[in-house]
Amino acid sequence: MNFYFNSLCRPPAGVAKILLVMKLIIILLTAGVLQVSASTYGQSVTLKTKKATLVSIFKEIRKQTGYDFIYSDRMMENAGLVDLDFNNVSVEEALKKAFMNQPFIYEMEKKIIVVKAMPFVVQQERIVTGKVTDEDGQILVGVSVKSLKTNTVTKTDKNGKYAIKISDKTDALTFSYVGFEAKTMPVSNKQIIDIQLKSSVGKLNDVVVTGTGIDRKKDSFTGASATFSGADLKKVGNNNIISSLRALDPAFLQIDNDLKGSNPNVLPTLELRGKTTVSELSLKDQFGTDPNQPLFILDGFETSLQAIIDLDMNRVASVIILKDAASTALYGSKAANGVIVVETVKPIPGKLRFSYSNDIRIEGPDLTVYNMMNAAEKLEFERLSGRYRIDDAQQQVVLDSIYYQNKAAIARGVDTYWLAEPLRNILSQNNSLNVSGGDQIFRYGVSFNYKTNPGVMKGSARNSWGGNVNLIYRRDKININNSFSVNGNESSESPYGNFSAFVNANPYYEKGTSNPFLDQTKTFSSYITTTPLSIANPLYNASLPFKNSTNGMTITNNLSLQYNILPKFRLNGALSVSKGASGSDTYTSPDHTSQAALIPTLRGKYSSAKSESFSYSTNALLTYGNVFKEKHSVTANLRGQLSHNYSNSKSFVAQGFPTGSEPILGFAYGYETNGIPNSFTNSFRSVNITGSTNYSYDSRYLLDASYRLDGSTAFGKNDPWTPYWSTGIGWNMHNESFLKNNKTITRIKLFTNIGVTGNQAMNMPVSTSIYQYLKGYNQAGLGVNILTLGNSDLLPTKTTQLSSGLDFGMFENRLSGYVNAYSKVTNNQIVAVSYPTSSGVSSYQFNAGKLVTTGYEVKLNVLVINNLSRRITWRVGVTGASTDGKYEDFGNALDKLNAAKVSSKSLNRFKDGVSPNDLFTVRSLGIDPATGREMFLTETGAHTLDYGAADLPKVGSSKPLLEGVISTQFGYKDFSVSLMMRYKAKADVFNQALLDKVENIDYNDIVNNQDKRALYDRWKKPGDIAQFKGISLTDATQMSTRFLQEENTLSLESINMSYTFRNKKWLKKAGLENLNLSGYTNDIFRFSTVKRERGTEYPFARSVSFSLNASF
Amino acid sequence: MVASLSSCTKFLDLQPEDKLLETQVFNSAKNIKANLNGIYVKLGGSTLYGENLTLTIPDILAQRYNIGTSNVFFGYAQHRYTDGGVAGKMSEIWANGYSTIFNINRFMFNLDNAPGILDAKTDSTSRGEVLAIRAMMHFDLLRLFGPMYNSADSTLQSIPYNTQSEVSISPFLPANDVMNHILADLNKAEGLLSADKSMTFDKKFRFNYYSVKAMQARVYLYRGNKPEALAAAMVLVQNSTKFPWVTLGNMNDKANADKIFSSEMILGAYNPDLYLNTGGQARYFASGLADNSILAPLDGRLIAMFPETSDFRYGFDQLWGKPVNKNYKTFLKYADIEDKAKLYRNTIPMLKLSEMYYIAAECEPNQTTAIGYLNTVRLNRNLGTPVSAQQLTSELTKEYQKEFFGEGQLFYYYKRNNFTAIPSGTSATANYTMGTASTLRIKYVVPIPSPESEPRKN
Repeated sequence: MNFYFNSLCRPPAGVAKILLVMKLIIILLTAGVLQVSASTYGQSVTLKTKKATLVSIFKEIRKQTGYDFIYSDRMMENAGLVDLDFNNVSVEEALKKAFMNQPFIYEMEKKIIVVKAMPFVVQQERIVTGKVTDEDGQILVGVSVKSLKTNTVTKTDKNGKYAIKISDKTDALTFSYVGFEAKTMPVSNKQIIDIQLKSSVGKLNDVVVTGTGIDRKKDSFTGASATFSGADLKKVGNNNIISSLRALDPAFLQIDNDLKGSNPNVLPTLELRGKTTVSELSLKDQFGTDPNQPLFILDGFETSLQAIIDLDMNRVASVIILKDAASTALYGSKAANGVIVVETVKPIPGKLRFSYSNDIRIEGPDLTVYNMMNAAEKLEFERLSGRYRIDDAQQQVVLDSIYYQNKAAIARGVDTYWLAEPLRNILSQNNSLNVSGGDQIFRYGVSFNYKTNPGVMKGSARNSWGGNVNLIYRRDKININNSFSVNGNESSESPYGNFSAFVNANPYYEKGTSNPFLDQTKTFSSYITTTPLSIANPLYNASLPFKNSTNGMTITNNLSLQYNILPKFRLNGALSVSKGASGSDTYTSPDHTSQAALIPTLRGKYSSAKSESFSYSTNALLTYGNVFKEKHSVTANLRGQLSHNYSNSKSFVAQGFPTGSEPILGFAYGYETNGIPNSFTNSFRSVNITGSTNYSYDSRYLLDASYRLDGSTAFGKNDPWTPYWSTGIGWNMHNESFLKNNKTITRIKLFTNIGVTGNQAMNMPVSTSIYQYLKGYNQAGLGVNILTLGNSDLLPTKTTQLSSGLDFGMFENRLSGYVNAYSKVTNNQIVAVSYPTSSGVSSYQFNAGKLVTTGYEVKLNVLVINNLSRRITWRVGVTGASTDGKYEDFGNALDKLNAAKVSSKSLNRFKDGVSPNDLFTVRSLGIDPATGREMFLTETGAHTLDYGAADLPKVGSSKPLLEGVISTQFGYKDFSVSLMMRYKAKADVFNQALLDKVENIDYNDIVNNQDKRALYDRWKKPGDIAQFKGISLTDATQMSTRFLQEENTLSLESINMSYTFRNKKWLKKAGLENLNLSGYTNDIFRFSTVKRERGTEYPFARSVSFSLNASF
Repeated sequence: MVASLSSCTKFLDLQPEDKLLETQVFNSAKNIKANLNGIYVKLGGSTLYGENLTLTIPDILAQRYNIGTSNVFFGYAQHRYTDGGVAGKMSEIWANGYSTIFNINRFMFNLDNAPGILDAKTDSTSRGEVLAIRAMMHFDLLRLFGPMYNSADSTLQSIPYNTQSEVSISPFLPANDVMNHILADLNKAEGLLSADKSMTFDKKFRFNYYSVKAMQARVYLYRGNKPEALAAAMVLVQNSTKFPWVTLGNMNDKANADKIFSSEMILGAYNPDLYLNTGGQARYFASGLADNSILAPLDGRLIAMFPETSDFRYGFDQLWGKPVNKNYKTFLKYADIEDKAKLYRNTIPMLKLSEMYYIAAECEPNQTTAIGYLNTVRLNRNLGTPVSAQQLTSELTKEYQKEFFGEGQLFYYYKRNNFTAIPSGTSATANYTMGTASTLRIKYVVPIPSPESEPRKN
């Protein structure tokens, strides 16, 4: 008998069985002996091996512990190599690890370890059972379970359990269920396979969340959309969603507000894929919005742009931009400008979790765009432009004395830099706290944030706060979610008022707040007379008691229910109720220079306005989803919605305050003379029914169709219903057999869709005539008169959109991107057609003409480095977009508007065939070196000094050739850095500041400070080749191509650096799970080929920000 | 499905809270009445008879006031109709005039579509009233913007006569066509209003049988149809007891004088803003206004105009007063009175009995009878000596000059009679030249405002 103790010899064939039989005997025989020896060995094992054989590990264990092993060498041929690393562990533990993934089991009897082969399974066909649940452990009923080898299919029962016959252990089971990602599990030796399916809804990038509850798998959807996670947005900046979004998506444009700069109280002008409405034409009411602004949806319900800007970025889970008809048709009448869907973070089950974010932004005004003269330059400019020259000898003495008085001030060293006076560097903060927790059945999330957002002009600020309680209850087939939010804000404008007052102030005036006027000396008024000046002191005005503030609060409760009726049918319902109130107060001090002309009891003004709103919206959605014969996947939805909005505003003005009075309403002497209280009420209701379906064949051929019937009080009484629809087709080329195993191409999807949506921006009925009570009265009392004459034939404005795109991924998605092209034809533009006034109306709403917008977007992403093992990634991306429009079929309906454009000296024209971006003006030949006057080119090609304003030629377009963002992101382990540069190529801009502050300076304007170029670059004497006309000429300069410049800009929109600390000892000590620190700069640098003043009334700001994010 | 759709449609049937839909207005007699009154409120507003057509524009054009080069109304006084401000004012009158007309057309259209809401009597008086307003409004636009109406059938192109209840372009018509329309509307109005011939003070603010007749007299005379003008004016002359002459007692009432002679008033406009500091008195006539923004006649001219100080329209310190800060008299006709309950507050006369006597005097072929009418007025204005028949024409002119201060009638008197020279406002004795016979239209005919003529490309 041979016993192999850690034998290196081969056991003879047939011995194995005998060995097994014998094992007990051996144990009995050796028991005593080994017990003794055990004391001489240690009881724990320390091992560190790499790719060691199992046998060598047995030896080592024996060496350390004295345990003996019984096995056969032949068995060991099947053993795998082992990596082990442990220190002072028990033998049991050491063995457990060593035997992991080995085709053996072992038994331990005292100090002998018997190694055995796995029990051999004779039976090939057997039954596997199990239970299917979702991620939260809720059972899923009706999940189809399919054996890949036998093709038998079964379903989970009402307890989520299934039983299925399999062929052998190489078989695999596929679990599939609507709304969940399919999963395949190999059977191998398992008897019980319990499975958790992941919900496909809500998973970023794979699903297009439309906000209506009707969600589409990205792979089978035929519309253009883009999804960004909250983290993506925070990587760009920590201010608000909108400023981050514009850097990420080329189709989303924020139009620079050259007037209002970075005023935190001014809402940005946004466009998604260009304009659909001629904004000058559009009908607006007090509560209406910009007709070219996209629709915003927050957690399934319509919201305002302001609410989106105030939203705490840390609460944002994802933002989805729906761009074309296929994706927006679900929103019918308001969808023509695209839809931005924002979803907030839902509480995650688990033990109580805290997370805290602190976002800090440091902002400074950008004064580099102002090119103003200093004191000496200004005085010299005044002298050269003839401010101190007059034909009357007596008056000349007066002017001379003023000149020397100013010169003396300069000699004294007065050179005030007024620009800096109303400005400051500011620190804004957002503190956000989030608590969540709960179990599978009930979970909760509570969040609160407070955000301060002061502006760079002293006193201007917008602060907002928000609290949210989110409760989720899930049990069996029911899912209830209730979210309660309270949001508030307070904003104030700067007492310094319009920034231009400081830009215009002369540097030779001494600053101070005591004198209401900076200058009350005389100035030239005609060739023989002078008039007194009265230049208000902006610092004096700013020092007075002031108020211009608004505050508001909104309470919203959203309740949603989901009921899984049958495996293939799901019912959702939701109800949102919202109540808001806001008030604003504006006070002008009685001591303000603007009040000086009034009688004392009328000086000072206090305007107060209050508004309130109430709205409710409810919807129900039925979803059906099924897969037939594995290849035909169908999803269908039916949704109904009903909503009501009510808003009301009231205002009054009080006039007359005691001098020096603080902004206290009680001090008023009375109401505004002849003023009347104002009130405005608006009620709006809408109902809609939407049907939508998606079909995909074998994940290759895709079809989408939606239909929505919209009813609204805005469409008029006769027929309040308007239909909208869309349909699209797509082809997942990468799922075709010829590409399936292609190494280069990982993804190619082509899609195209067409549909009709509306762009109703107002809620007032326009097709019904409305009468109003007149403000006046007579001896018989009040009277009623026509307010607006409705056109009962008026049709809602509709936009027909055609959109196509190509999504691609190559080299395992190392190179990915898309190309989208679209055209939007907005028909039935509602135009206030100019009627002769003898018709009794000055204008009348008609459907006329269309606006055709075409454009494309490109996005390209290259993953240059993607080393996951060393955790290095480097990504480079480029986006680009271009869009242009054209008026068509208006005929002469726009003549009146066009005439208004001409008379208001606008460069745009309203004519068929013309783009809203086209610029019209006189062609300039430059400045005549002999006379210093401007020469023009007439239509016939002649040279002239006379400005002909009649029919001006098109000379340029404000549309950039291409606009987009170049970005790069680099990540190494927990450190990441990203950079985003915006470029804008070849856009023509009319440099208004150049015209106004260099040339178009009349006698009254000479007293204002001007651009340095007015002194240095203007024609002074015959022979000068100058860009600008004679310095002494104070006649009006007309607009001409001389001020039209081609602009190319490159701006550093964002730089971000971030580091995440995790698994650090000090973190654990502090009770932190992880800690993320980020630093940003936004708009820190801007290069433009055109030097022009931006931020006339409020300067632009540059910012540096930091974010701290900790979770506990 | 159909049932739920119709219940949804019901949900969408929402009435605005602070505004009225047209259907709501014409569903109730109360609202229809308010709509009718709204038309009168509009007439009494500053853009029409509350100010522009009475207090200011025509009187400035007629050189009533001393308007020097620095005066803000200089452009108006010089008939510079293309000046920005002047043109703007003219188009304000034009637009508001036609907007009132359109309200009337719409009113009648909606009355047709809502039968039975008003009782038959109210229905016909309402229609009569608005037809008369439509005629009057067109007539005043014709007087201002229309051609020199030199013959009974002036065929010169004038203004559109708008009778459309839908927004539409009405063609410009020859002046005689417009005149025919005006008279047709007035005749229709007369028919609808003649049932009630009673008179109360409230009725003076609404068109009634008498005001329609008075308007007919004015229109016929403007057309040069003297027999018809006389016939219409005689209705008022014969009913003069309903419009009693103003008394000496009134003129002696210092605090609450009826300065507009409301007892003689046949039709008046009610302007609730008249005495407010945004109203006509404060903005044009108040003594606190600077010399360059006040409307006041040259003192010498005023004295020359009123040789007899006993004249109710001059003496008694009622209509004219010399403030301490000015060396000339300011116009007080529209200054407020103490008793705020007086019914003649806030009122601007549009038609008065005196004008009917003037028309009768001008149209009566019998010289003796004619001068009798004029002397009746003179007598009731507290003027001593009667004038002779030879003086009729010149005295009539003087009467128009004295009687209608702040009522806007004098300019049309000049225009109707082709005055080539009129008394200057800036000189006590000199004349202001309106042009020669061939150039009169330049100053007498206000061009059609540009928003009207420009887009007219039909």
